[in-house]
Amino acid sequence: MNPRERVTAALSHEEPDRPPIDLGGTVSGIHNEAYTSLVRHLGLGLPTLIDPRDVQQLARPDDSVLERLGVDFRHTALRTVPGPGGVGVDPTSGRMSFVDEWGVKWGRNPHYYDMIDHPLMNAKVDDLDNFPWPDPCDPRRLDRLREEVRRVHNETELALQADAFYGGIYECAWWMRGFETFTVDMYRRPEFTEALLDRILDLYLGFYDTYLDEVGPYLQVVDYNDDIGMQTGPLISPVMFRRYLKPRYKRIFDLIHSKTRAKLFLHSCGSCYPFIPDLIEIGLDVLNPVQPLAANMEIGGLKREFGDRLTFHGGIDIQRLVPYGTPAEIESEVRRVAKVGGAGGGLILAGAHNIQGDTPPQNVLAIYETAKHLKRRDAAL
Amino acid sequence: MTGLDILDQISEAVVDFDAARAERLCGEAIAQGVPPYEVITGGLAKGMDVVSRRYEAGEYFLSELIMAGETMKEALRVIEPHLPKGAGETRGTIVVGTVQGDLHDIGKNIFANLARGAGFRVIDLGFDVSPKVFADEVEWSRPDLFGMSALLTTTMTNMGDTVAELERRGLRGGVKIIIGGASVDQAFAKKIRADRAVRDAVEGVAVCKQLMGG
Repeated sequence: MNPRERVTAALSHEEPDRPPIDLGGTVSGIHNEAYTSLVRHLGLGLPTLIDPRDVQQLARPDDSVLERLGVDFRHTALRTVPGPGGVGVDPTSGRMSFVDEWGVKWGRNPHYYDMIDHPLMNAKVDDLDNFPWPDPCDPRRLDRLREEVRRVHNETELALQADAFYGGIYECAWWMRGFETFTVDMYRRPEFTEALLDRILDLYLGFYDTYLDEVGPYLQVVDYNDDIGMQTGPLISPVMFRRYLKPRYKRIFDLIHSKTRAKLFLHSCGSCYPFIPDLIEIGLDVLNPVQPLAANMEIGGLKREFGDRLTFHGGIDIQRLVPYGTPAEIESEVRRVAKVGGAGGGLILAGAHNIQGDTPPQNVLAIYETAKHLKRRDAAL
Repeated sequence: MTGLDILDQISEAVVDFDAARAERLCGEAIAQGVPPYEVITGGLAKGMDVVSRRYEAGEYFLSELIMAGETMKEALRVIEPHLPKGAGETRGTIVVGTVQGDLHDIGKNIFANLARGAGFRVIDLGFDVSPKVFADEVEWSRPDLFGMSALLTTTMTNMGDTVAELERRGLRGGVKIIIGGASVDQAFAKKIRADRAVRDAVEGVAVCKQLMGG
């Protein structure tokens, strides 16, 4: 099977020759420090390409590295439009900082960026009218996008995944407002909460419209990212999820499904277990990152309960196992996840989030060397 | 209305996240002559215990923990002016902060609110706090408990540096140290010579009570 056929089979719940493998994008990528170590370990004289304003500081892996690791996907992304004010030093913290196009201020730390200011922290409903919102139709977002995607589609047999842009509507709301303030908004200021989420929703619908008009026909997977979980459980109560987020997610999911035959992928960190039936009901196809140390997110249980309706993407623990385990332990876990999650298709193997900077290259290789040599019987047993 | 009734109602207002009602009832309780510390322990803290139990049982979620914390914080503003000056009638003093290099303070803020509501005096140093600043505060305030939080594996090592700084300055013996954050566990607590690692804000407050003898 070629990679695209393998991915298509897995997404259609048919068992491919081995589970497809992913590395790349914004939620199954690799931090630039780990990538640099990997490239050095492999003896490849390749530079580490990185967007200096990428808040996660992920590498953009070279095709030759992805090929060597047996990765079945290539990722594409709507281009980021710079925010006002460019890059400078934040006078309060002394950190290198920039303001993104939503007005959120980010400050550099040694490994990533942290949010250091929220533009709507003190806003009232009326202030939303005067805020300089991003323009989904800005032509800079599509710069060479179609060419890039057509090249992968026409000249390779790889699968294509369209990465999400920014956070989801929930994240975007609290990034602009501050986490605690937005949490209190949901309970005490429902009118403001609805108004803010509606603004963001309209823009997101515009973003997906622009994006999928350009690349929709070439894709196997389209991402929507919104962190609604944490390690021990959901970040937000099911009541609030169903009141504020679910109906708006449905609008986004419906739009995506109307514009492409690609499968719809949701990334949420942590435990989103109580919301999974709701997400399936509104059209979710692929759940990422299946973070094994988060509550109720172990692949075995999820496969038993939802495996007939969902494909799982991720599954390999990057919080403890991959940075701190041995290559032998990693190999054994990759085999276990493939066996438990891959029977009958419905599994794409990847780290259960980006591989972190302090991960030894031998451990990164252990994931991919094991995964690319898996056979159908490894999953079917 | 008896003292007992009003404390129960305060507890209920916390459970319902009804800050306006909690504030009004706290004011009334104090006007009726209920000692301010009892308004906290018999009213607000009781409500918080209910919320914490529901959180542990999976009936309440982080968003509700934040709301209960906010409700308590607002109600405490009514009570605080009536509290005796100095540590006096508190369950104990806690110095808290997020370690150097780490700006993630949501868990720490929830903990600080809950601990205040449980009757502790809390000195919150904010985030990105250096070992020196932590040690200076411990030396000055002589707290019973000292809590550090770190979200990142890359910043959790600064917890060890902070404990070492306390040891170097002879301050370690007088204080119980608890650590929290996504990346820490008991083994790490042991390694850096902290007393306990806690999973979340609710467990953090329970452990603080335990360390203070119940």
